[in-house]
Amino acid sequence: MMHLPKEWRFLRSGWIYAYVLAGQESAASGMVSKALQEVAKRNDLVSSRRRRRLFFAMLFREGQKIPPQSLDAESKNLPLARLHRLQEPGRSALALLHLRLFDPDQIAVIIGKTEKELPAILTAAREEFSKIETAMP
Amino acid sequence: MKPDTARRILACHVDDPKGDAPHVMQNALKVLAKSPDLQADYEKQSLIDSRLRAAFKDAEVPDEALNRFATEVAAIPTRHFNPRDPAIISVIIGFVLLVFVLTWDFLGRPASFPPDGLEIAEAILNAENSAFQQVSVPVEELEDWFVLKGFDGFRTPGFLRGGKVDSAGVLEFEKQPLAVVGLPDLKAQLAVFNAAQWNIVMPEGEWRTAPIDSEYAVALSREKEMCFLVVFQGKEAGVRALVKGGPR
Repeated sequence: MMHLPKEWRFLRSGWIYAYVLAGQESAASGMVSKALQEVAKRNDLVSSRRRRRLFFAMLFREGQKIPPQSLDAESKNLPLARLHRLQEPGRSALALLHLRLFDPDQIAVIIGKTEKELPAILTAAREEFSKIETAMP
Repeated sequence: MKPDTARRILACHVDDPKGDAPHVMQNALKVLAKSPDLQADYEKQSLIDSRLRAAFKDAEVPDEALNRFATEVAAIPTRHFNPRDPAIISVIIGFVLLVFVLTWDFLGRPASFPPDGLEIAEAILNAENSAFQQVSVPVEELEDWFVLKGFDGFRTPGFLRGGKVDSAGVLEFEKQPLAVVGLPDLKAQLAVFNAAQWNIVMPEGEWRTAPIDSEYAVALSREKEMCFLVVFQGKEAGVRALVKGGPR
């Protein structure tokens, strides 16, 4: 298996986030590849932190276009797939918080909200996730 | 910290079993200990987060996807110097402008007329007539006359030798002596003074000229430690011609 260079290791987390957004593995891989190509074209992204933030912001933008998918019961990532059922921006906020790549202020920037709005968004997303878990054990 | 603030901080936090809680989180946890409502909410949040944490921890990224990303990353071209890149163009323009400004400043500053010279010229023009005495000796013979007046080192620039002098005197400007002679044929006054007391930095033997106002112009030169300053009644071109030994 080929290894990702250090500055691109976030692509693994990127795939997990894309999977939460797309609900399908193949679609997640496609989203990551597309965002990767777009970020690689940018000459103005000098710092790797900025590049990573833009990459996840692109995934978030793409994720808005994807309708909710039916869950693949045989997927190894079924627990993650439950997150796919959440409403945005709570879904992305909760996923990005658990990926631990960004501070809350950066998460707010990625999902296009203010840092002040983030706590309520996360609280609502957790409640929604809890209900989905109950409905889909 | 207020309970509402603590609630907001706690909502944006995920417990990290391996890591320490940040300082602000520790303060929020102190508030949490005093508020049963907040404690109940946070316990509920922690339960949900623990299940989410397990989901993220157990997430499996397909090997084929990772291989595909690694191949795509390897195919990203290394950045080379591209002169058409707007960022590079901006840097080049900025660098050229910087060099231009520095060159302009470097070349312009030495060629400018020393400000102290202009102040001395204005002091000579404003001097009272009583500061001068009538003399009738050639200019090159005035050295002894000035020594008797207490001024050492009076010399005459070559182009003034043989010129007629009608007045001479020692003026004091900013507590420094200036030996001044009137040159009626040239419509000019010559001042000789010690350069060390003034901020006059210029190459030896070079003449610099400048207009004082619409009626007068000035020329300045330095020879060893002494300066020659010619206040001329006329335009700058006239004083330039005078110091070059042109038509009088």
